[in-house]
Amino acid sequence: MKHFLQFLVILGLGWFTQQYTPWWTLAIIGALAAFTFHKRRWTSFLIGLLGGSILWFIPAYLADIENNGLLLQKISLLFGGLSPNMLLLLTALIAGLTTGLGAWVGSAGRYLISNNGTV
Amino acid sequence: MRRLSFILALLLTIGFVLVLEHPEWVSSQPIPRLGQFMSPFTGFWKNATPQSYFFRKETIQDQHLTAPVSVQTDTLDVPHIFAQNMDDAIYVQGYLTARDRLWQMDFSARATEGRLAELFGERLIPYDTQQRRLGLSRAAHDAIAEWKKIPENLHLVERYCDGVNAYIDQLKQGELPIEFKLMGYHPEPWTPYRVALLFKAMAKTLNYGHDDIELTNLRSVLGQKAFDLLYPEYNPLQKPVVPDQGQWDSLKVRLAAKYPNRMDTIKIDSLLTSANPLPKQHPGIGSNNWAVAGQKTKSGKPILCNDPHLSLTFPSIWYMLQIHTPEVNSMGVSLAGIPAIIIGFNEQVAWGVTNVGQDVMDWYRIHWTNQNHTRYLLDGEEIPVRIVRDTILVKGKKPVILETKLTHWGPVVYDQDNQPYHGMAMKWLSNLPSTTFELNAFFGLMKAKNYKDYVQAAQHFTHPAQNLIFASNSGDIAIRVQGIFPIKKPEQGRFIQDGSQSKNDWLGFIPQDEIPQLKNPKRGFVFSANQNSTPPSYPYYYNGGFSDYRCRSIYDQLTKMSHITVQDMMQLQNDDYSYKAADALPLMLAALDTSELKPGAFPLINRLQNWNYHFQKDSLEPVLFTVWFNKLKERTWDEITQLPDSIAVFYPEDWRTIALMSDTTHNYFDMAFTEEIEDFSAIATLSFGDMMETLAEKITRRNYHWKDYNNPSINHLARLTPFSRKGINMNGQKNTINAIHGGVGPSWRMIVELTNPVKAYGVFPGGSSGNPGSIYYDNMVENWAAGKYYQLLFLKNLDMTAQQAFIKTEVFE
Repeated sequence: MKHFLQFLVILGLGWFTQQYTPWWTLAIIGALAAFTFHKRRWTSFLIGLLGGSILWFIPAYLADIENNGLLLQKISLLFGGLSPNMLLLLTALIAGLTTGLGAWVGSAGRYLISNNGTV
Repeated sequence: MRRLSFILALLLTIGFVLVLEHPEWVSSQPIPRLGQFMSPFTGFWKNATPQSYFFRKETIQDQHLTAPVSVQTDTLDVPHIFAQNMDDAIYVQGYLTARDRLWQMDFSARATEGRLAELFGERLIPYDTQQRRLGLSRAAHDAIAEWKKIPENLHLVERYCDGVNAYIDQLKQGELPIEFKLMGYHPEPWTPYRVALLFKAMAKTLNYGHDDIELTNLRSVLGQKAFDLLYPEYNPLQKPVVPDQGQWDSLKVRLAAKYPNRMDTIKIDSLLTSANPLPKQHPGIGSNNWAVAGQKTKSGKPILCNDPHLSLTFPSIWYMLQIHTPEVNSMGVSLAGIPAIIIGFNEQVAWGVTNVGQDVMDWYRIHWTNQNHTRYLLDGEEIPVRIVRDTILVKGKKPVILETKLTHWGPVVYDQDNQPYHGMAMKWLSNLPSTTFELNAFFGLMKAKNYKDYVQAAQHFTHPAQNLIFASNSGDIAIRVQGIFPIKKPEQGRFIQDGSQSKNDWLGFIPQDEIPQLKNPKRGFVFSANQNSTPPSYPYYYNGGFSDYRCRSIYDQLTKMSHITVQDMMQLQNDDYSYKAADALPLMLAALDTSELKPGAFPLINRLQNWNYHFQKDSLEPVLFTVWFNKLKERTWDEITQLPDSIAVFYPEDWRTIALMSDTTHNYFDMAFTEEIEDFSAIATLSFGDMMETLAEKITRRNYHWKDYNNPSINHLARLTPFSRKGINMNGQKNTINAIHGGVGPSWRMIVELTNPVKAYGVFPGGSSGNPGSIYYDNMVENWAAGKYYQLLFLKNLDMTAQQAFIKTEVFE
């Protein structure tokens, strides 16, 4: 349950802050969530990875659907023929890794300052 | 251990973010900042405009307006602006243009100013250097100073800029045009200076013809007699814009007394090198316009047509719109970044432009008197140059300080020995200070009601000189070779001139009432197609580059036609018949010595014999003719191509080559390096073989056609291939009325019938939007290529709008 909550916090907070702040604040969101929920580092990383990926994948996917693939096709040629699907995946991966790495930092940070070290 | 894990995670995270923010650290390829670029909140996904456009009603709050402005956007994505006054209308024009074309505006201004190295790095330093040496930025500043003298003038320009800036100010990162995101920079505020810069960019596109070096070299190499034979100034087959009907008789007498002498031309001590040839104005740049009087039309009202040919680009060159106020109701195309409608119509009149092509860029050899070339001789005195310092910022490198020497004549553009025109100063009309507020011409035309208003408005237009054509619903048709033109002695400016004597300067400017003009001629039409402005009997001398063939097509067709309809005019604008092929091919075929040809030649000859000289996309004959003609030129002008590579020369014009085909009094067809003496027949036969060799593989393929050879294309301004269109399927060639030639062609086709109400048709190769992610980026390309038009929605008032289909309604208040 707490896993899911951490995931939701990333989505909700991320959705809000991404409108107004630079893309890399995802790392901070991931870190804050991981710090708060105090999970194992790998778990935190995976939740961050998943949360960040979905946070970017959904609006990107919807934009592409509404645009009938017109722009994505052109961007794909611009990226040396990287396929439209690969570009979608790359988009999700950038956000996922940023959030996941941030979550790792958050989680490791929590371990660092917590005395008992148990979860 | 815990600490190590934390530090490792922190370093990895920071490293990952930094690498995505600075892709240049890991790749020499230009890669956008991936994090930002790929973000669906700020990146390219935001430019993927939804295709299902619903009717939308929006209100935009704006405290700069004096009254609410309503904007209706029609199904072509063309905005119709309804304002209470011109101030507000022009403000909203700025706002909307910025919304659709901000990157194009910003990029064009930067390119004109010579500021591309700061975006793209050191490979653009030579480009920036040239732009700055040409003095476009200085000239734009001078223009502003002139415009400022009358505050009303500048006012509308400022309103336009306010509109652009209001849009920029509210712009979020996600809404930035995709090119800014790709290349990682931001738009700068729009200013009257940048408006003036774009004017100068147009001047460079259209007013930049100069053959001084080549002609000087050719005259030296060939001698005067041969030079006069091969490079005459006037092609008698052309139909000039304004014929001599005796209107210049008194002027001839007056001028003969005033300027009795021919130009003393200097002898050049050595031939001029061109290891690094100057970029030339594109030979395909040109345009058509014509207006037919009511006596020749079915409706009894004049019809005006215009199709300006330019390098075709994305975003499109033109931005279509309607501007409606209580005093003005005008529609047409504007240039992104410049207020007003440039080519268009209103309820009473229509107007259009083609380029004049007279040479207004002259070069003077400077006689330096010291080693470091800072002093020069003028009328026996030593004069110091004025040095202007410019800083060129360079991405990732130290700035470059550029010194430009200004002389009595103008800037010394090139200073390195391997450059053409080095040690010469350029005198160019377009970098002299403005004498008028050019935009008043277009503001005047937008509200013109009759011929008198047209003449009055036209006189504000100085450069780049245009054949400004006009028609009114009261029945007048007219054309003016509009601009300011230097008064020159015969042959002045054709060759490099001696810069040590001030008497070689221009003698002044032609008074506006003495420029060539034509109103309501008996023949019932006026027209231009970049041909000579006048026959040589016009008393002022001019030189330049003029097109030979399209003018004949238009003249002959319009002479024949009667009861003309809009559909006839559409056909004429898309005509692909070539007078050049019709002139040359019969002579070439008749000269073939069939005993010397391979058997494979006969089917080709047969095809060419049956060809109707139409440059149609799916025929092979236009390719055969074009390649054959080019090969024939190479063999004929071997005496010119044999010149050392370092000397800048060019072939005689095609019309001259064709004229010499039926002239047996010369021996230019003899090839210099062979023992035999070749005649035209031998050259035609040999070059036919050359053509077959060149095209062998393509001919056997059987699916190679004119469109593959011509490759009609529309290139993105920053040459991004995925944002460009290549291999467009269409008829035409640069010498046919439908003058598509590679990446150059009709950038806007307009037909206006001046009935009541006015009926107007138009199409351009692109769309309103500059966003490659919008369907309105290139929505008109297919119809444009097929020669189809859109009837333009020209609204008399706002009330009519309820019945029409609009995709968007906006109120600015």
